[in-house]
Amino acid sequence: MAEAATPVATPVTDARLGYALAAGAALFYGTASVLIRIGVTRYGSPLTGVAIALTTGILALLPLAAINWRGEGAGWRPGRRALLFVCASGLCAVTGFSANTFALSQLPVVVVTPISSSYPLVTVLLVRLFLHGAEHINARTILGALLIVAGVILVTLSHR
Amino acid sequence: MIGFGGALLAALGWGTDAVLARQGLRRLPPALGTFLSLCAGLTVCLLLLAIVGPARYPLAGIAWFMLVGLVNFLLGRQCNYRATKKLGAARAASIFATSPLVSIVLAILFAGEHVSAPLLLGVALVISGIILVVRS
Repeated sequence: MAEAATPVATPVTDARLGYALAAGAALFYGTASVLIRIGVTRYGSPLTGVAIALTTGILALLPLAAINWRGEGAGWRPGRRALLFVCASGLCAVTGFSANTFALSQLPVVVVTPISSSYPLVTVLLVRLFLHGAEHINARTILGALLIVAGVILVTLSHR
Repeated sequence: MIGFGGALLAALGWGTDAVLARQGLRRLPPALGTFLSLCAGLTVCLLLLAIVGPARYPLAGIAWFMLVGLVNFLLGRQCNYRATKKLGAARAASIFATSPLVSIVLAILFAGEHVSAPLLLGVALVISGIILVVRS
């Protein structure tokens, strides 16, 4: 996983945009999880729902992906390594979603959420192990991730 | 026991997702990367559906999950990949993890859920964590 080290370029404006995008992702994921919960309660079968949602996402993204491809110039082809990483990322995301849905069908939310919400800590650990030359993590990043996970667990448990 | 395994696998899957995306997006534009990752996800999803069999959804159900696709994948996952490319996996994943907060705020606003002291304490912890991650 460790390629030639190229640290993440984060000038101030780039970082601000990055945090705005990350907040946007959290907003959309939080909204989608409410929509999924309502949809599964009304219509059942989460897997069929996810397949419909994924197909819609792919069709909606197709024009943007085509523009991206053209923007890279004539004759450009994505590298095999990049393709492999991105496809593996998609598989991990689907695995995470399916495993969480399955766990929720077996155990109460108060047991599942504290475990599944700890994923930023897995990310921090993997970055430390495999991307240490490419991405810098300090004590604040680790403490911040721990506080976020603890806070999300507390909020989720207080809500149930 | 199998439920615990599922929860652990979820944390591993989501935690690994950001690291792999970060590596792949070094040489791929974000929208194209998002598109390809969704294609990989759909392949697995269709294989699983072939095993368990698809459910019959009414038209309203199909429309509902199409909306989910636009919110979660077109908007959410694209913001996810763009943020990961700009911030790196660890910082971006920490912010994505705050998404349950949004669900709960929506429940308070639209479903009349009440605000409790542990909830406020949890929100304070999340905000402190975000400040630390941003300043790191």
